[in-house]
Amino acid sequence: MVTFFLTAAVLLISGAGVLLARNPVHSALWLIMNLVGVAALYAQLDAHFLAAAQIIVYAGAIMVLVLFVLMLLNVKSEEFRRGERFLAGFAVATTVFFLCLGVPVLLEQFEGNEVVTGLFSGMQFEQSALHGTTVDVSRLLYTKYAYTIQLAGMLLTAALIGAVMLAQERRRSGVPDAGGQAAESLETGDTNE
Amino acid sequence: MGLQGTVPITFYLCLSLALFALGVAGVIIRKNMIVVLMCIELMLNAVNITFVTFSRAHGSLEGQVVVFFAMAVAAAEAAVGLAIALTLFRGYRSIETGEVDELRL
Repeated sequence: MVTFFLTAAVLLISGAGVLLARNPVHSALWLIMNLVGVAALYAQLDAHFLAAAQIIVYAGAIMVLVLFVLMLLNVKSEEFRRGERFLAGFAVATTVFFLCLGVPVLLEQFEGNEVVTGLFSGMQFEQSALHGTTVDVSRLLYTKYAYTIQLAGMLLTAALIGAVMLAQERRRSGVPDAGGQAAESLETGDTNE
Repeated sequence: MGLQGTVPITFYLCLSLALFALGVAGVIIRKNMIVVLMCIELMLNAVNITFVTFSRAHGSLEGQVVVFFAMAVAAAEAAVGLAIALTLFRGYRSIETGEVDELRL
């Protein structure tokens, strides 16, 4: 119980930090904290493989990519106008309200499902033998979901090629366009740092 | 085992709801495109928490497999999204969502 509330506090504070930090780099650092918190939550839910994958893939690879691009672009801090922090709180409250409106619909959808009907009577997890260890998860991944994992690999390859195609500079065209000039000034901007 | 024994499932779902709401609010109020991408990651993670919670509640590993694939898709999304942000920055010298009004450079 204590572990859960500690993790929840970390998650909520760092999630608000992502939202409210003026400097995008600070936002990214808050998000790393949030992702590590999510990994802790996975570990509490016996999803050990996912906890490790979360730290390696999200907090490691994806966030390094995000931070790399942020620092490459050298983005200025975003200035909140007066009252925008109030607006942020209002936006969060409204979003929670409208998301909560969806709960009765979901309950109706899963009428008779003992897990869903037990939710609002404070249902606890059963003591099950379920452990999301690497062996168990990958046994499922490479048998039942063998084709899906191939598809995921193809998706990642396509995304990689697409990202390279998108981000590469086009220097083949004869007239240096605005994009080329911007890229050059981007490079000089980096050396100024 | 035992650590989660006293925590009701609803707590996990409420936490997930709050994180999702934070992500939605971030997409609405932030202007920096990369921060918006990060808030999308926040929302994806909130949904992943729900998947793992229900996987634990139903005693089935399939939810964790779905989360694994969601991570793969999130990685692909981050790569393409950041490449688009980089390309837009070259054309507009800015990645404010209000200023970028065309995808074509």
